[in-house]
Amino acid sequence: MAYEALDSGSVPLPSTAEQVTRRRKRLIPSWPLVIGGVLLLVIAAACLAAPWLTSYDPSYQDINNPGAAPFSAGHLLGTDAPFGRDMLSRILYGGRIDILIGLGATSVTVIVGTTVGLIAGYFGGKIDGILMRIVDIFFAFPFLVLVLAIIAMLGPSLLNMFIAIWAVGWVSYARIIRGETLVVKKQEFILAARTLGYTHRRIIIRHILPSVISAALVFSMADAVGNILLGAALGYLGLGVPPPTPEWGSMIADGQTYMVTQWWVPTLPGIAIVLVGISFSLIGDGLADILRPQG
Amino acid sequence: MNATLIASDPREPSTQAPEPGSVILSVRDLRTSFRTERGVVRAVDGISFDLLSGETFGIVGESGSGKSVTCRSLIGLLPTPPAVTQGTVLYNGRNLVGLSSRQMQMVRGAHISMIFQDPMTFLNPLMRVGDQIAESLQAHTSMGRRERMAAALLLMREVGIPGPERRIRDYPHQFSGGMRQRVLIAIALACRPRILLADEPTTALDVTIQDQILGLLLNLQREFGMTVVLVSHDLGVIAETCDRMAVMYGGQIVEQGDTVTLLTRPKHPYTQGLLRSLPGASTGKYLTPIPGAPPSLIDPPAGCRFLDRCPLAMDQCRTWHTELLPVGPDHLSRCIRHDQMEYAND
Repeated sequence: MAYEALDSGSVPLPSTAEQVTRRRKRLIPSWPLVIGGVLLLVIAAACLAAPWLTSYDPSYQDINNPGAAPFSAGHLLGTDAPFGRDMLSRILYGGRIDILIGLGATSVTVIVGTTVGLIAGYFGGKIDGILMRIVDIFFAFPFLVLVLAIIAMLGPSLLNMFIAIWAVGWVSYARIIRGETLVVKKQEFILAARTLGYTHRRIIIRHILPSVISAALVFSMADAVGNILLGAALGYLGLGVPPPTPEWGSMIADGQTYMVTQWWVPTLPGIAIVLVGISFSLIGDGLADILRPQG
Repeated sequence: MNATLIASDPREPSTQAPEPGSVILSVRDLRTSFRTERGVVRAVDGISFDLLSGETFGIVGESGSGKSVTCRSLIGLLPTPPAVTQGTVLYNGRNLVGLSSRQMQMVRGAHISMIFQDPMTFLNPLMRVGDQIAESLQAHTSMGRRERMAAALLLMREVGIPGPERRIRDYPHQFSGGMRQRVLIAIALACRPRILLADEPTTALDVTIQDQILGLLLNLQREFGMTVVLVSHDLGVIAETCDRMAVMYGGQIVEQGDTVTLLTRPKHPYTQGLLRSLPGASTGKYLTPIPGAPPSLIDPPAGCRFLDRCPLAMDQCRTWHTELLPVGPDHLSRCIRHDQMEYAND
C-alpha cells in the first residue's frame, strides 16, 4: 500500500479473539516442560512400580529360554543372552539405579556448587580467590578421568560412583553461580538490603539466591543427563554397579556381543537411556523458557 | 572488644528517648577516600556536623561534591577496600566508624535507615512488596510472621499506598515510581529508626510526585519524632523542608547554618553562586552560572577548593589551610573573605 493511501486508523488492530488467545498462551507452562515432565514421571513411575508390572525377578534366569525375541511367550521384551533374564524386568529395575544416579548425583552437586559459587561471588577477595583456584584445579583435568581415578581408588560400587560424581561435579555450578552472583550483587536492591542491616546470610539466601538459581537449575537438567550417561559409561567400563544388579550401561556393555544375533539385548536399554535423557533435556529447555527474566 | 567501649547495645533503645533538639548524631572530621589507579580520591575530606534530634538537616551540593559518600560513610555502606573511612560518627555514645560489620548491621535499618534516589532499582524484583516490608522486621525484631504482615499492612497505609490489602501481594513492577518510593520509605521506616538518611529521594520522580513524597516524609518525621538528613542537589527542595543545612563543595562543607540565614545571607561565594544560578531567586533578569568546573578530588592541593571559580579569590586563598569560621550564631563559612560578602536575597 502506498504511504499516501494510509488513512489514519487504517492499520488493522488485533481482533478480540486474537488478544484472548495471546493472553491464554502465556498461562500454559512451556510445552517442553510439560512433555519432558510427563515422560520422566511415567518412566520413573514404571520403574518404581516394577514389581507390579513384571512378575520376573531381574536376576531370575529362564535357562530354557535365553535370547528370546520381544513379544515371545511370557517375555514382553524378550530375554537376554546368554542368561535368559527377562528384559522388561531388568530395564525397569535398572531404571531405578539410573534415575537415582541422575537425581541423586545431580542434586548434591547443585547444592554444593551453588553454595560455593554464592560464597565466592558474594564475598569476593581472598575467599573468592581460594575457592576459584580450587575450581580451576578440578577443571584442569578431564571430568571423566577424575571420576575414573576416584572410583579406581575407592573400588566400584554405587556409593563410590556417587562420591566420585559429587566430588567432581560441583565445580561447574560453582563457576556458573559465582558469575551470576557477581552480577546480582552489584544491583541496587542488594545495597538497599545492606542499608537495612540484613546479615550476609540473609542477603545471600533471600536476595541473591532467587535471582541466580535459575541458571543452575537449567544447567542441572543437562547435567542430570550427563550423569546418567556417565553412570552408564562407568557401568559399561565395569566401574559402575557390580553385576548382577541391572543397570542400563552395563546391560549395553554385556549385550553388545549379541548385537547381530539378539539386537534387543543392547538396544532396549539404549532406548531407555535416550528417553530419560530427552525428558531431562526437555525439562531443562522448559525451565529455561519459564525462568528467563521477562520485562 | 573492650566491654567498657560499648555504652549500650545499639539495638536496645536507650532508656530515655532523646530530647528534641539534643545532639543525636555527632560527626567529627569524617574522611572517606578511595584508592584508585590514578591516585587517592578524597571524596569526603573532614566533615563535621551535629544532627539535632527531630530536625531535618539538608546537605546540598553538585554532583561529585561528596553528599552521597558522606551519607554512606555514616553507616559504613561503602565497600572496603577501596574505600577508607576515618573520623568519628558518635551515635548513642559510640563511634560508628570502625564498628564490626555485625555490630553495624544492628544499627542499620533499626536505628539509622536510608532511602535512595531511584526507587526502580532499589526493590528486589522477585519479592512481593509486603514480604520486603516485613523482612526488615524479621531481621531486627522477634515478631512472628502474622504480626509482621499486619505491621507491613499498617506501614503501607501510613505511607499512603491505596488499597494496601490488595497491593501487599503485588510485585514491585506492578507499582509506579512514586508508589515504589513509598514502598521504600515503608521498608526503611519499618523498625522505627531514629535517623533517616534520604539520599536524593525525589530526584527520579515527577515534580508533582516529588512534592507528595516530601510531604509524606515530613509528616512521618513529625509522627515518629524522627531525625531526617536530606541530601539533594536541589536547593528548592532543601529550602522547603530543612531546618538547618550544609553546603558541600569538593568533599568539604563550605557553609553551614540554619536554612533561612544561609539562604538569605550566605557567607560563602559558592553558596552565593548557587543562589544566583537559581531562577526566580536572583535580582537580575538572567541566571548567573558559576564559571568553571568542580576540582578533581585526586590529591587536591592545599588552599581553598573554590579558588579557581571564586570572584573574591586572592593570593592568600591559595595558601590558607581552610577551616570553617563562625560568621554568626550557628553559622559557619569556609571563606576568609566572608565579611566582604554582599548579597541580599529578599
